[in-house]
This record gives sequence, C-alpha cells and structure tokens, in this order.
Amino acid sequence: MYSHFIDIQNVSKIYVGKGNAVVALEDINFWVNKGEFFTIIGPSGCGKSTLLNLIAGLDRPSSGKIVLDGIEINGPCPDRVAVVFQDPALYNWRTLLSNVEFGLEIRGISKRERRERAIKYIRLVGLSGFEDKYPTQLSGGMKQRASIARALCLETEILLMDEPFGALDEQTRLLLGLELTRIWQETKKTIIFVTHSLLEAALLSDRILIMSARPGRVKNIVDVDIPRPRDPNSHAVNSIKASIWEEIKDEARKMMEASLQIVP
Amino acid sequence: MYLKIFVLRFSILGFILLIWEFSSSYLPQTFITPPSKVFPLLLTIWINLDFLGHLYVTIFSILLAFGLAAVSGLLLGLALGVWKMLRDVYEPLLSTFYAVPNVVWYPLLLLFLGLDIMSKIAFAYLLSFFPITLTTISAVVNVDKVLIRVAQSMGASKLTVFYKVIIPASLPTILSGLGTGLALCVTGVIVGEMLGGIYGLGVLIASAATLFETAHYFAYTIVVIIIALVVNYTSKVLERLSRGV
Repeated sequence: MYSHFIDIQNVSKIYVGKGNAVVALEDINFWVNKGEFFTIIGPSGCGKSTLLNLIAGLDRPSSGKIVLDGIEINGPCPDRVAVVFQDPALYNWRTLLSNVEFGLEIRGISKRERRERAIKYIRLVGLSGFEDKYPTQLSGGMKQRASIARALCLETEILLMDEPFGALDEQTRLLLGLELTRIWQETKKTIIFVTHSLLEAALLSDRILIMSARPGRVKNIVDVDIPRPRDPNSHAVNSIKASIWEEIKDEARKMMEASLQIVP
Repeated sequence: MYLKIFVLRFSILGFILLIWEFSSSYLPQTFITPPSKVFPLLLTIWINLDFLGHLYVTIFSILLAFGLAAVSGLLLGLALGVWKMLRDVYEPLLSTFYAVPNVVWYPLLLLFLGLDIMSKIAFAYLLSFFPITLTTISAVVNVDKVLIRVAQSMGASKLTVFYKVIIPASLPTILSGLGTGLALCVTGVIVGEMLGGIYGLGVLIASAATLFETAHYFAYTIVVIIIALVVNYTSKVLERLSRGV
C-alpha cells in the first residue's frame, strides 16, 4: 500500500552515449501529496526537466520507479497527467480554440463537449475573445496561457509544468505566476512545477525540492508556510528566497564551472 | 504601400520594353524584333490551331510529369522522413543523383522513349522528382520535436502524431518543394522539346530560332514566361495558405 499520491522511489537516469555515460539523475527519492503545489528548483542542467519527463511518462528511468496513486508509471497517462512545456508548442495551423481542444480531439470526445470545455478553460486563463486567432497572432505570454489552457482542458488531477514561464519577461511571468495560484486554487489540482526562478518558487509553492548540480540529487526539501495570496516583496517570501539561494548557490557555481571546462 | 510596389515593378518592366523597342531600330531584324512587332503577333497566335496544339502538348506533358513526380516524391519523402533506417540508406543516393546535371540522361531517354512526348515527360520527371523527395524528407525531419512531445503527452498514437502533427507541420515546406518541382517540370519539358522533339512549345521556339523567325521566337518565349508566372504564383498562394496566414 502506498500512502503517497505521487511517489518517486530511488529513481536514476543515465544517458549512454558513444563511449561515455552521463548520470543525469542519481537516486532521487521524494513524494508529492494530493492537491499540493510542489516545485522543483535547481541550477540549469541539473536534470529537473529530465525528472519531469520521467514523471510524465515520456521517458523511462534507468532504475527505480515512479508510482502514481499506487500504480507504476510506464508511459504517458493523459487521463491523469497533463504537461505544460517550456516552449508553448502550439500548432500554428490551428486556431487557439482548436489548439486547446486538441487533447480532447485525439481522445475522440464529441465536438460539442470539447468546444464547451475548451471555451471554459480559455476563459479561465483570460484569453476569451481570442478563440479564433492563430498562434502567430498571439504574444509570448498569451501563447503560454493558451498552452496552459490546453493542458487544463484535459481535466487531469495532476499538472506537470516544465519552466512554463521561463521564456517570458519578468513582469509577465510574475503576473502569470499569480494567476496560476488562482487557477490551482480553483481547480484543486496537484501541480509539479519546475523552475530556476527563486522568486517563482517562493511565491507559488507549498514545498520546494532543491536539486544538486549534475548528477541531480535531492539536496533538500523546504516547506513554505506562507498564507496566500503572497506578496512578492513581503519579508516571508524574501526569507524563503534567501534560504533557497543559500542552498543552491554552490550548486549553481559548480554547474557554471563544469560548463566552463567543457567550452574550450 | 502595395500600389507603390506595383507601380515601381511595372515601371521597370516599361523601362525594359522601351530599351528593347529603341535598341531594335539600331540592330538587324534577325537579331531582335521590337515589342511593337512582337505583341501583335502574340495576340494573333492564340487563334492559330497549330500553335494551340503545340501549347496543349507542352502543358499536358508538364502536368503529367509533375503529377507523377509529386505523388512518387511525396510518398518516398514521407517514408524516408519517418523511418530513420530507410533514410540513412537511401538519402545519400538521392542527393548524389540530384547533384548530377540531369541533362546527361536525356540522350538515353530519347533513345529509349523516342522523339515523342514520353521522353520529355520522363526528363521533366527526373528533374523534379529529386527536389520534391529531398524537400519532403527534410520537412518531416525538421518538425519541431516539442510539437510531437505535446501530442505524445496527451496520449496520441504514432499514427495520430503522423497525420495530426507531422503532416500539417511540414506542409508549408513540402508545398514549397512541390513549387520548385513544378517549375523544374516546365524547364524539363521545354528543354526536352528544344533538344529534340516533334510537338510542343520548345519545338516551336527551337525552329523559330533556327529559321531566324525572330518575332515568332520572342512571342513563344513570352508564352513560356506566362506559364512560369502562373506556376510561380500558384505555388506562392498554396504555400501561404498552408501557413495559415
């Protein structure tokens, strides 16, 4: 019997190339509670996206297992898990509405129902009125909202987000982050959120997992007991930011030095 | 804005016509015929049944060669684009063949298929099949992987990914390859006819040139230019439509 909603048990991921093997993740253990906003933070290249892809079932761990509500994950399970990628990855040949409907369309849901659901989530992310626009006519922030609506439209219990606001400017990412809190509260989903932004982590999360430099390991898990709505400038948020930074800065430096050694 | 571009474009054309008209009075009539003599001829050839027959043969050959090249190039291109193994084996062969100046095969084609239209169709086919196939392959290979991942994460099967993501994402590039292919079919058929044939615009052009019927030569050449314009415009429009803009 598993008491944890999402359970990551002794997960490692090794990429074998020509004559060498890169250990991306090493012996990762943690769990996520139902309805939790769980954030994974770490220096670039520490394997946090790899970890998310494993949870999404898009890739398989080299060892260990990931258990979702008592069932081991071994492939995408679109009726329970939806993914938002860093790149909005909208289909340029489809309108916003038809992009948001996509997941329901390939699942064979009737045109009427998927339209209703898509319109509902387009409204939830604040894009009402843009249903018939093509992605090329939307701004970066709007595209990312659309890709969130597309994931929400699947109505899964779990939402995985891989640096969804990473490519946006600071103001847009802050606003979208606050909106995400609202959407999370309204839909009561379990969210696993990957980011490299300290502020985003402190502002959004119930708990924050800090990853070490490559090979990625769990360095620490921090509880964030700040009532919502949170103020980005409050002392509480700042002190969480400071404590994450304290733990992460050596790791970030290690990654930077490692990359400097590769470059020449 | 559009008006300005339009006016500028046509003023260049007008300028060229003026130079053409002006310079022809200083050159022998066998070298160059002024537009004032070519254009009346260009208007009258359309009631000449003999000319229309030649034109029909050329257009028919172009379309048939293009149809064959498009269907076979698309099928092969999609297959090689999707299956890496097949691609690794055959793509180098295709690109090597593409690099060979195709006109070297033409004598062989004439020998095997005769002076009739089959040799022209085969030549045009050879010319356009390779670029259509190679463009289709690279269109499929270059589909952004994250677009595919999105569909996979939503539980799409391989088949669904193919026709809901790969095909529409690669369509603009594929269509531009088809546009190139069609233009090369025009070249192939007309060059083929000029090098040796019985019917077709190319035959008319070659014989007008040999007989020093310069006015006819210019008139037929302008017909070829009109065909090229139509081809070019059609492929541009298709490509734009497929991009959804």
